[in-house]
Amino acid sequence: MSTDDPVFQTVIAPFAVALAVVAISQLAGGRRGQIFAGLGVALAVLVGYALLAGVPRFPPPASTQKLFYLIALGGLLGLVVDAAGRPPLLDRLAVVALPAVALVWLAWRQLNAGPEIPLLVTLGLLWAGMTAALWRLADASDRGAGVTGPALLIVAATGTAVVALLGRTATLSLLSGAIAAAAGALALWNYAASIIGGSSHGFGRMALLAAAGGLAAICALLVLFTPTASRLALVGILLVPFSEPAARRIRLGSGPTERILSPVVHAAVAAIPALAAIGIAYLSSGEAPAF
Amino acid sequence: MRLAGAIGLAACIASLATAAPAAERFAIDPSHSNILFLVGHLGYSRMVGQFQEFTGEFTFDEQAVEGSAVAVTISAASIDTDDQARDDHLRSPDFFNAAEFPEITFVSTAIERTGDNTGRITGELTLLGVTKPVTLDVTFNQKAPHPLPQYNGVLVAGFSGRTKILRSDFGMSTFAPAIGDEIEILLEVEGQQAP
Repeated sequence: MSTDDPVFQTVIAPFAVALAVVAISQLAGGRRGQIFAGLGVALAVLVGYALLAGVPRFPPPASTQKLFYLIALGGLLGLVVDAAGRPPLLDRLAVVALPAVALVWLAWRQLNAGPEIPLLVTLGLLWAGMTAALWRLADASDRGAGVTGPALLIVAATGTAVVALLGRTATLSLLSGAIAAAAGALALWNYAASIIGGSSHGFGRMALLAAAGGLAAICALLVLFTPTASRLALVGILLVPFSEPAARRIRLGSGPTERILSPVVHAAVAAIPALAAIGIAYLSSGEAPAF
Repeated sequence: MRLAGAIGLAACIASLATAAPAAERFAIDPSHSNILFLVGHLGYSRMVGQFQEFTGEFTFDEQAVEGSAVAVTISAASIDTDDQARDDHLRSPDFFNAAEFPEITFVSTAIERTGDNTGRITGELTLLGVTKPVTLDVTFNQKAPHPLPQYNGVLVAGFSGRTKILRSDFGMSTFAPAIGDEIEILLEVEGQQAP
């Protein structure tokens, strides 16, 4: 497989980078291990971006290029929160601030041209949705031996990838795939550790704010700059993190069975809104472009 | 005596300025102008597309072309490749990102004559928020009053222009090089003398 192959760029390479760094994190152990694992996820998403579209110049003129630096910013913010021992106020402040910063930067050109009421309303709704989704994902990330958070992110990112593709935006689709692949490596490691024994790296804020923050920014780009992407479908993606309490209600017993089945059940329940989103996007997509 | 000399010199300059043919100003006639492009398609062929909406004007001085100038603004959303679904994709953030960057602009910075009826226009092309110098090879076709009576003899000037750019220079690299990085741009422009 060539390194120019989009599957290599956005699935294999991010997965391999994340898995390698997560594996090395085992040597660090504890909180430092979690920070390193988060670094692996953030780095993997950035590698996927760089392979697909190159490292954008700074300052980036286009919103899609700003995405690269927003992922890096999310990772940096998460690193600060993780390194500080995740104090609740700082933790929640980061979850609230990152979407705000991302939206203002992404829509800067439009805001600078003279903000119009519809744009401000859209940005307000986007901020509320992105913040709520990240907040829910942050709550879920501490449960399920560090598998639930990445599992929800995989489902949301995969759903976004399909919605973006049906909305005629291959780049954002592939970048969503890279986020799913990077989260997949961490989920796989933590899942294996929870079953065969070993230390789970959890789903630290560095991984959350870089990868999930990046995915939220992709959704914002679809809403703001891709009129052909279904906004209704993106509401379905937004609901993915909110499926976690419902999945928790399903009784799976305890011990090894619960550890094996719990992430599968969480992913399956999360897939319901994601599949609904894909269905909506498919029905509203129309004819495929003739490339 | 000195005052009379100064007045005489000023009068002389004024008369020269009046006598010199000023650069004529033309508004681009979109119904008789085309902005087309050719882009490689997987090595099989070169696909043709065009922009349907654009505005602009140029000044043209046949005696001193260096004093001429061109400015064009193109609506990115007006891209047309004769396939609605593909045009939607070309408007997306993968390519022209028309919602974020609705305009593509070209403003000339220098014009030089290269032959009897040919020249080279250097200018700044702004695409996707990136401004880069671009040089057009142009052929001056004709300048004459319009022959049809309903045009009331309005002066019309027509040019053909050709250039090539690398879309990746402007941050548009999706599917390159499968969908060609090099874009050939073809301009056929008519302008009617502006009042």
